[in-house]
Amino acid sequence: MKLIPNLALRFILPRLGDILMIGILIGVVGMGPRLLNVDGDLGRHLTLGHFIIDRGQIPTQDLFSHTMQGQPLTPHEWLAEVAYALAYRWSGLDGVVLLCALVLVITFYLLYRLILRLTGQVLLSLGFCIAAMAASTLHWLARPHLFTLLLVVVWLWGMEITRTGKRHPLVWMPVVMLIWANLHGAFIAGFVIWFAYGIGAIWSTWLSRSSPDPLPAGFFTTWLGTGILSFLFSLINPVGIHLWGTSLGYLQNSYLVGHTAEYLSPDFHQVSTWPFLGMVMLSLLLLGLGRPKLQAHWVFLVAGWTGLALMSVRNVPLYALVSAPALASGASGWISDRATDPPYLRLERRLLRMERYLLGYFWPVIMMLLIGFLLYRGANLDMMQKGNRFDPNVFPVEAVDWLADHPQDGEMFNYFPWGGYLLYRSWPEKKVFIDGQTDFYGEQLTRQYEQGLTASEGWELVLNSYKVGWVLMPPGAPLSQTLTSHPEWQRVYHDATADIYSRNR
Amino acid sequence: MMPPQISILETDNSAPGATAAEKRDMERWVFAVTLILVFIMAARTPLDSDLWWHLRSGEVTWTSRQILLTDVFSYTRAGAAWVNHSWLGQVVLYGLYRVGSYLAISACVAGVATLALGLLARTMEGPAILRSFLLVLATSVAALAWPARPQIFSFLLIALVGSILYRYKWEQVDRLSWLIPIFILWSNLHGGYVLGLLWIGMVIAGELLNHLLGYTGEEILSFQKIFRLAFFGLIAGFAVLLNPNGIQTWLIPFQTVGVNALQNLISEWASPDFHQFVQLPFLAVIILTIFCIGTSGRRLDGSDFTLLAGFMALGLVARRNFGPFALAAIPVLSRHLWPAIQLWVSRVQPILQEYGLLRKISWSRPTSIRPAVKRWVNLGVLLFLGISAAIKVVGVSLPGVVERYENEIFPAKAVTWVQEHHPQGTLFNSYDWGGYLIWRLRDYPVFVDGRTDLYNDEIISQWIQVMNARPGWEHVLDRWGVHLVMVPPDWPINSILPRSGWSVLYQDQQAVVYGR
Repeated sequence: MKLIPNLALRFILPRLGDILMIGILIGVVGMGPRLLNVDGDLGRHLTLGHFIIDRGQIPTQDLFSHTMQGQPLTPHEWLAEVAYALAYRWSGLDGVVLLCALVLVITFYLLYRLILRLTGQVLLSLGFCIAAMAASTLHWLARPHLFTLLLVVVWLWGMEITRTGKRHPLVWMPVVMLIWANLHGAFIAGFVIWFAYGIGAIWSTWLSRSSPDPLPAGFFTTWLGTGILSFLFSLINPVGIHLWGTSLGYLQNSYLVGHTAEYLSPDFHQVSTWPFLGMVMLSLLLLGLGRPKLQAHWVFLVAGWTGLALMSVRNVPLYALVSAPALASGASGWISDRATDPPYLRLERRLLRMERYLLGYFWPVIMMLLIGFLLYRGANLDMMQKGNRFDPNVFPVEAVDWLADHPQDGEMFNYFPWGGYLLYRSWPEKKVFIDGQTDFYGEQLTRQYEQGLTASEGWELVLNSYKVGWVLMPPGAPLSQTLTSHPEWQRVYHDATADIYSRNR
Repeated sequence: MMPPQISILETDNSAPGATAAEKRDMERWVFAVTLILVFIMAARTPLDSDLWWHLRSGEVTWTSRQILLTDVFSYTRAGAAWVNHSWLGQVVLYGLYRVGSYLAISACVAGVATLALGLLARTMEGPAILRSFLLVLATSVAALAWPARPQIFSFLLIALVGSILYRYKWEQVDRLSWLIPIFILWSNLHGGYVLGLLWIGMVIAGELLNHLLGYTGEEILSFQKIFRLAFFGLIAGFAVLLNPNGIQTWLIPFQTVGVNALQNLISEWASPDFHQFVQLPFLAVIILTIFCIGTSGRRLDGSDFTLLAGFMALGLVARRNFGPFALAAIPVLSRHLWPAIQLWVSRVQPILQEYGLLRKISWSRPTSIRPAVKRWVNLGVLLFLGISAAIKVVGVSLPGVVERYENEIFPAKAVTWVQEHHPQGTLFNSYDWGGYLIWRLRDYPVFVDGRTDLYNDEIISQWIQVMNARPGWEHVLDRWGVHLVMVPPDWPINSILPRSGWSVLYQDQQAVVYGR
């Protein structure tokens, strides 16, 4: 039976998935200033992206600091940096926000479609997709890792297709890995998911009394082939196998991990972590609701990513994306098991029929074009009507303006979170002491920075050894307090965000 | 020759044909060994930074025969009303100190922790060896929250309440009337009674969930039983008012949690940091529990869910809740780990046998050792472990050991210097050292100590301002008329004071004393 005979109406009437996409788009654009200002690395990514576009080469040595100049550098995010720089060239920071919105819209729409494929329940899929969004918002920042969120969902799709016995993921998943390995260092998450599917399949086949969904013939061949080819494709990047060393090596340095906020365990005093906590609590209930039990790979994925997310807050969005389909599958199985034909399931069936019948995408595309046009024309679409810019209360915007007219002698000692912004504003004229790429700067320099920042014993030696002539710090920093009363230094600039201290000549 | 048939699912390790009494004896022996090991793990040098002000408070109550309900230790809150929710716990600790110094306190803490785990063992499922393993796991989780202070009594009483509710639900034994005296005692020993009330609330919520999900079974409490539990919970909630603080007893847990500085300043109120090795067992229990629930094939009981999820959330919000989490989670884990192991083994065993990979070594092979010899060997092992436990608890409490740790953690030498030189003036001190100074430097009231609910954000934020040398730090010291500062050498204030008219009076690796 045709619900709506008119083809045009089938295009125009929005599906629930379309409404979800529009909601995400408006939400992300509305929080644009937050995306730009919570983290200080965007400036570095833009600077590096511009460099690659202008010079047509990917730098493998440091160009940005005076402390590590010329040292070997692993450009593990170069492709994402190019994408951000292109978006910036199109429409400045508005373009960056729009790119983030586009990536997040596709990510969560694909997640919704994946859950729908697994459960066949539209409202349930929407609910778990929104739960995953709520849990992951704490790490929605204008940074390359957004591409990892998208590719995790693509990867889950590939593994699910592999699990149905189809072989075409063997061809395209390695290509996805090739792109992923050049977009962001967390491409290793793909291999974690791949491993969980393999172990889950072994578990289901040999260790579990009954598998809710038997494996198709040839699964292990496709699975193994995909893994091996993906690994080989991941080596196609500017530094080859060293990319793996950089991505894994950082995690082995407890000092750097302990000093990088996103690698710390979640702080559950922050409200932003509560949706994640809610998902973990819900996972206990849904895994334990009884038969039918979840497929083993979902149990492995939920248990494993729970551990990873509790270890490091940066893994919380990945946990949310991986767990949402698993938990939705558990909930769907339980609902179906409760009664032969409850009214809720009848409603879900009607919605699913409607969702499949409508052609969709019309309104999300229109909205994307409209928002893009408005941003391009300079409209402020964020909730606070501040516009997409670097916030002068967060970054030393006015101090850098002042520096343009009053250049200081000697090298700079800068506040670590401002390193990226300073590169964005002042490179190549000025090079930073340090910026957010701690995996490159390493433990020794980071310790020296901390020594200077906290004005701990020996701070003067650090500043002298790097020929530091001026210091850019927040007014409340211990070093600022120390320099204020130090006879060799004088404060030459002050505002509510930043102080500049210069050596007395 | 065909190997003897075995089952690696055997739930006991006694000989075939052993009597029920022999099996029970074997189980008891395994538990005795485990609990002695727990005691050994729990016996530590009693050096919690809050122990000292608890001891001093206990001393004041003991000697004056009046419960201490006003502040007499600080100059920032001098004379203010203080909700002393742990007065009885303080008196007990001080009494122990008088009787047996640090040895008595160490033994008490280890004994109380062991007793709590003994109660926990009663609520677990599976063979003795598995339960013993889980007890050790529970110890590794909870040990982080076993301080030498009245909080340890809360750990025991949570286990006791958990045990009573377990018997009520799973064994249909009604001891709910015991809850009332337990909560009266609890509200005088320590403010953690609120966790006991939460436990009751979670069981009620869990049983309602069981009914909502349509679960049936002997262990599902009927509505009548749920109502009875709610009634005793309500009475217990009112019973906690029977203490010197009256209605304030209800309010103080909320006031304490409401102090913002707690989560930033005090590690036990912070979320776990799983990059620290000692906190990893908590994470391991979460992961293992999720995995076992997902693979055991056994449905998760509603009360098990509410207790597990609720106390997991509390543990993730504040590390001090690791202990209650262990008490709530380990029994649930045991109820799913054992079926999961049975399931896995039943699949693995035939496969391994098929490929000849399983050595047929029977756990239940008849032994040639005579029962009398076995009994003596078992007793010998217990005796050896008992002596080891005694050596451990004595060893960690030796005056020399306590003094060494005291010198490493507290400003012991700086305090001695102050006692000898009597510098004049009001003393500004580090937060962590407040309790220690209350105990040792009796002529110098403190700026702040571990009684965060007394000082709240007002005083603690001033303390943070000074320690970090934030703008206005001088005004704080001027306002309180401070002329002496005793702080660790690695705080930012140390880089400012020498250039601001303060001179170093004393300095060692632990502390710097400045004078104006």
